[in-house]
Amino acid sequence: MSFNVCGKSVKENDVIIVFMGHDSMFPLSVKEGEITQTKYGAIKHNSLLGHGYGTKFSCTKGWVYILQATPELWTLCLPHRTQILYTADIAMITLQLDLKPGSVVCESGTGSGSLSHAILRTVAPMGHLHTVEFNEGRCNKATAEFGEHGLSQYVTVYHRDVINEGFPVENAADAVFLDIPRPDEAVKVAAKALKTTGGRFCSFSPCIEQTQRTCATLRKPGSGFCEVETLELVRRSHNVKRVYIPIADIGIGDSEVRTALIKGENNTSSVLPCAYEAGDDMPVGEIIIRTTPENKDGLSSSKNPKRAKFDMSSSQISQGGGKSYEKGKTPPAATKYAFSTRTCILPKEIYGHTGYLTFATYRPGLSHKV
Amino acid sequence: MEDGIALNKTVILQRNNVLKAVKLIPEKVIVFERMRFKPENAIGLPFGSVFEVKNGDLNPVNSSLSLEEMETAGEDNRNLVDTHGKSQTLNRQDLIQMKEDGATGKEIVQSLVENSSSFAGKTVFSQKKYLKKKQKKHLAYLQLLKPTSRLICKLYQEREPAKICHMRIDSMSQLLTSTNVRHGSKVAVFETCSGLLLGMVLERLAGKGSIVNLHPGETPVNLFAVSHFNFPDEYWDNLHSLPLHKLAPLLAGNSFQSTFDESNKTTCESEVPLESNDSSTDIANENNSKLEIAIPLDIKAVENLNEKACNGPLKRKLSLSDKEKTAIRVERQKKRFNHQKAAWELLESRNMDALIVASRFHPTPIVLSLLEVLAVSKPFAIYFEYKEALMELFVRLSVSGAAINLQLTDTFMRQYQVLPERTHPHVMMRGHGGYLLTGIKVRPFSAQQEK
Repeated sequence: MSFNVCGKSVKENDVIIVFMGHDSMFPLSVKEGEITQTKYGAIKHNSLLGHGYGTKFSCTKGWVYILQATPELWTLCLPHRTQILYTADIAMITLQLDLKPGSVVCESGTGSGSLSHAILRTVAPMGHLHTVEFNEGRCNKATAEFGEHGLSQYVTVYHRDVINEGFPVENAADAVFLDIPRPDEAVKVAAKALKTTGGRFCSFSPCIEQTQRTCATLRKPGSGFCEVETLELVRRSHNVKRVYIPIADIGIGDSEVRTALIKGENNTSSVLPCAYEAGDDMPVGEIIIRTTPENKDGLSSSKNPKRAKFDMSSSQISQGGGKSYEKGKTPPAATKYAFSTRTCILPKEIYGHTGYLTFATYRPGLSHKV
Repeated sequence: MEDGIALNKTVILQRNNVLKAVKLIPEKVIVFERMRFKPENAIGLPFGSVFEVKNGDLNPVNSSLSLEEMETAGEDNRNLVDTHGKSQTLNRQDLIQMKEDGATGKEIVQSLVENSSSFAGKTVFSQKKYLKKKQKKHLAYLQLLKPTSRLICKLYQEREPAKICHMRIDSMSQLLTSTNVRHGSKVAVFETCSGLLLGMVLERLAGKGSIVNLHPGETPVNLFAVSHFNFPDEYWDNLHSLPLHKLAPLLAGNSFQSTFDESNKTTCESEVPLESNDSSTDIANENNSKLEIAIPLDIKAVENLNEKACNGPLKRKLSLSDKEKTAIRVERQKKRFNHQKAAWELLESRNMDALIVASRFHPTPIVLSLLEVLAVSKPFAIYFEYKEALMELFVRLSVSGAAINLQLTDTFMRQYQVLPERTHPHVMMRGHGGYLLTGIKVRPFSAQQEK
């Protein structure tokens, strides 16, 4: 079973992650005799047995990577039954709930088990997760998954409505997590489940109204909760790419113009730096000679642009544009030089909002601090 | 585990969201938020207990006292006129007098409201804000909390951000979670964050597993924060420190014996190995015995000495005989040597489960070498304050094919004020939390790898 204990090579019944790319990976439960189809060809499970984790596996039309399962990879490729929590929120919840081996956690609703797997990873082997789900189908699916992943001994799944029936334990939890439509109605039962010596509370709500109601309930005198705080996290991925920025022609190719500028008669010193004199500080990139014509958005598609020092005093400039133009022809808008650098490009669309995370400390017998 | 506030252990002090880590030493005055007190009265009480400070001692406070919002009436601010701070008739002297006469915080706030000419004309929200401000100043109590990762991270983020490479709490949490650190993990760490990450990892290992703590220089100076966690000795036994400059010899195939024989001239180290860019820190107790900071690995020896020190006035320097000093030093060296050997053997096996790097040094040479000791199919997470260095590393790793699922990320984090009719994000937020590069190792790094 991969999540809990994992060897160096694939064994029967292991849950592995087949990795074809960041956005295309899927989990696979290794069973003798079975075959799984991928876009790179068929994966015969028998061939997987004994295969080393972290290495390439050849299929008929290509290859994939076989990886050990972790809660983080599971989150990225688990079958969704509900909207799930992602790693940024999960990491913050783990830290804010003071989770560690031995922690006892109550969670509702189980949903698709994304957070559950992460909690189990952190609290095992001395801790336990009591997870409550009011949808029977999801309950059963979660139970089956925990079993397949070798985690059953650390988790109990309950089919109940936490608001009306409460959590299955009292005065036992170090932390309570809520991801339900009406978390404010579960504050009371959360307090009951938490140890009377104190604990931590977290509620995740996509909507601000739910968050407002929850905070108001937590802050009621006598609730037992204090140190209420709400935050949101947006994690974004940077795509590291090389870009080629063409250098426009400002007419500096003409040698007479150049000489006049250098002489500095009309205090034209501001123009010269734009021509990238030799020896100029270029810390972020370099000047190259573009070998392919400028495409529409100004990015060169050249794979191996020749690097060149743009030297004002050399004769290279006259080749770049200006005097060498033929009569009647329109000079190109850009010189043949470009500035090449690596930069981070952000994706066009990102997850801008997952939900509001509200945290609080449970300290019965104590008043709330606003 | 049931435990209460105890002597010679660290607690986290909290007042109005300001945190400080202090060790409770008998008879030793603690200074915090303009309060001075001795810890004795708190001993034995549960963590989270609330106190007020009176005459240099802690008084447990009736916990049913609440900061309720007083019911008020107000208007909108169309007729508001700036009174230039002259609307309050009570002055500072009056307040001091009231305090001396034994007025409670609640009474003081009440008086302030009654003596303010502009209060009635404020809007409801303005009045509540005013009350909250006055309550925060005159009514706030002190809490003694149990140290946890969450509190210590928050503490460093607020008080000593430069010491932790300006990591924000979300970056810290992601370093731990994305590397699957758990009970029994073997984790390789290179950090210059005062030991904060080491402490967080130790908390998640809970006594089983190991950390190889690579550190710049000869001695592991980055263990300050670890002592705040109050870990039992068994946890410390799993923390193996090794100088970073031993890494290349190890990877080159040198033996432990030969590498350490060469540099075996260490007969004495500096007494107080603080980080070179440390200015005086008030994170630990100001008068914290230097000996305690210098020997984090020798808890028993320190405690023995502490007992000795506690029987006399602390102002006097610990008077140890030369023999005792030498004995401690030898013991310390022996222990350090054993940990270095353990670290070496762990790295040599090239079978680590996780790699975490968060330092002020350029990550590329460190990561490319440390990836060698990570087993395949295992995750790594690198934090750096500026993205350029990570961009370079990203490209090298992806071109070489040494790692997959590479992601260079940063996180936007914002806190909210959630109050009825007054819900909005906090006006001020942290501008910057650093960058993270995460990935999974699939094969050793080689510059000439074919893709």
